[in-house]
Amino acid sequence: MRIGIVGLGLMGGSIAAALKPRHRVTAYDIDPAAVSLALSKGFIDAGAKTPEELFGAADVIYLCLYPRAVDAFFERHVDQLRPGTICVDIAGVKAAIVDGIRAHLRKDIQFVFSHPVAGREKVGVAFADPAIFKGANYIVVPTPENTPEALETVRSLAREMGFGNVTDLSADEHDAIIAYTSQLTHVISLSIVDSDDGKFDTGRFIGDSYRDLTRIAMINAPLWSELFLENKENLLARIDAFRSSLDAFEAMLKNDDLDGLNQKMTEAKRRRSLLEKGK
Amino acid sequence: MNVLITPGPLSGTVAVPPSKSQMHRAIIAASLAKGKSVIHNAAVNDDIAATIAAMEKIGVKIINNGTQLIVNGVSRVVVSDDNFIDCNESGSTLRFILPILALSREKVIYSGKPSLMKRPMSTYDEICRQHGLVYQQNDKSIMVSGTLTPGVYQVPGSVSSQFISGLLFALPLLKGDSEIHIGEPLESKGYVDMTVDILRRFGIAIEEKNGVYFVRGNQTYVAANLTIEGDHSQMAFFAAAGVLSGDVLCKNISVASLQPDRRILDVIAAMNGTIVTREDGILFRKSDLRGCVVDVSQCPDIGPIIAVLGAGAKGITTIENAARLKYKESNRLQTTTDILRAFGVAVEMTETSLVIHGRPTFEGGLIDPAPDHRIVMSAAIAATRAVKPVLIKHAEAVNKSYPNFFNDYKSVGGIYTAMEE
Repeated sequence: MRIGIVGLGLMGGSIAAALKPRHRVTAYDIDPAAVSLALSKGFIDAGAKTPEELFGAADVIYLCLYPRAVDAFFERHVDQLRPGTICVDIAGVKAAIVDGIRAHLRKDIQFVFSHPVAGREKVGVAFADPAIFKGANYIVVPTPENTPEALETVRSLAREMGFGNVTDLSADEHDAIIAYTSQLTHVISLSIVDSDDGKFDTGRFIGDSYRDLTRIAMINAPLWSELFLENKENLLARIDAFRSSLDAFEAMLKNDDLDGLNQKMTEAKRRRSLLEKGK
Repeated sequence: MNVLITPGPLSGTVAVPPSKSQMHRAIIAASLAKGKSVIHNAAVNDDIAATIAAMEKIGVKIINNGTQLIVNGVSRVVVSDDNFIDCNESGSTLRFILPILALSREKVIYSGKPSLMKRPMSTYDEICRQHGLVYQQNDKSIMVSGTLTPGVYQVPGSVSSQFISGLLFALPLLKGDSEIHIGEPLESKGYVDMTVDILRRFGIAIEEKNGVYFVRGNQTYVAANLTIEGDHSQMAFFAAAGVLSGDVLCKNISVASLQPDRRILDVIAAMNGTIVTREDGILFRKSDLRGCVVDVSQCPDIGPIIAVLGAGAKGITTIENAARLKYKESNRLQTTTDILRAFGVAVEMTETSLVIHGRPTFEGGLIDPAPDHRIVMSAAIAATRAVKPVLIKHAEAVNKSYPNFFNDYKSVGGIYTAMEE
């Protein structure tokens, strides 16, 4: 097939590289250097100089843009898309963008909302790597306008990229669960690093636990600021729940509650072990 | 069933299913040979099942072991069950067994799907009239009564060779000698050669000279064991995928075959396709194909997939002497043209030919082929070159000849999803 990528960052580059073996991949980026780099790394077959050029060369187009840019880009270019084109977004929030884009939809265009739950703590196409998708989760958010064929094409391409689970969710469900599994974890990771009082040379004393918990603090700040704000209500609710759990720990410590601590840890361990059962 | 294909190249290895043409013939010959015959490398699809069911009506016992058929044949043709034969959609079954069951002295009624009943049968109508049998046909069934007798049979060469094969099965069992005179140059002679070859292996001698087949009477079929070759007409689909999109190795295939559809090898070579004969099969390499002129009078079944090759070749491909494509499960001149046009390929169609203008990539989208197995499979192979997702309707039609087609498609890297209607 002919695949188009708008936005050659870490994700756009990784999607391109994952699909290139079976498909002809053309990419557009506002930064021509990103296109040159992707070409030299063999992630894409061709670069497009303008979005219009890309639209002529692709039938399934991944919009690998920041959440607020997706809607803006689509609105600006929707009239230039060829009939039958399938557009796919990959943004990490959904409710905030779905309605805006549906308002601009054309009847002869399919827009499939999706979220590849994968990435790495690097920015830019230079670090693109299709291996990040292997066995990862992919969420598709169907709308009433979607045809079964367009949805299945996007699911099928996700499996081809290497994703393990491909699941349908509503936009609200997506945002509620992602606020917990993705966004809260980033908030906590950032808070751990942020709460370091700097008395010691921390780097000399970290182990796997610190490394594991703070890897994602190496964050793409402009992207994640948008993601947090676009999903503010859900994230606030999750932070609140997390704070209650912290408070409970604090109270047990203050009260020297050995049994309580034991119980809480055992229960959390049990729940964690059930999460990826069968994997 | 609809199938949604995410287009992309195919590459890998396919075990080609056994030849349907050889299967029909071997089952019939083994059924007429008293005692046990074993047919190896067998596979039963809808058409073969129709032939098996018809043979069981004359008391033959056939056990299907998965890849083997064990046939306990009979020495005399006696309709031992009821006299209704359901040929489903199998032209081979109907045309092969009609003369054989006319040895039984019983009235026999043949039925089948509407598309089967629309296929030309006037040759038998004519033969029955000339030889004192009663032949009646309406749009649902054919009734034949009377007994086949030795003599001279006139068959035009332009009709399906299946009529000639049918007579060749039956005439050796008569008390006297017979001759079959072919009126014009025989189209699809290769299929008659295949029948003669199978008959020989079951102890029946046929001689041919200048368009006349001499059939001695009072011959006896002798039980035999036989291994069915891979089917060149099925191989043709993955051979095409190999040269169009990626390297594909087809196993279970004999290069030195009597199957008329082995001509696919010549056609691919003529189109500049790379074919490597190996010990384990034939490897079809991705090639820059060039258009050419192909006469399909001897191999009409591979006409549609040759058209797909032409669509992916540089320049113009002309498929000539293709009038017989009109009388298959669908009018394949029309239905081939329809799918190619749906893929965005320019095609000019006449009463006897197709002129195809090749292009490097195809469009995609909805492909609504006639519910005809070879057209559906041709569309799935064409999809390897499509730029858009391809939704193929009537995908279940492959069950007629190649029930495992989409599994094999997947095993060489094809990506598809079966969708609800």
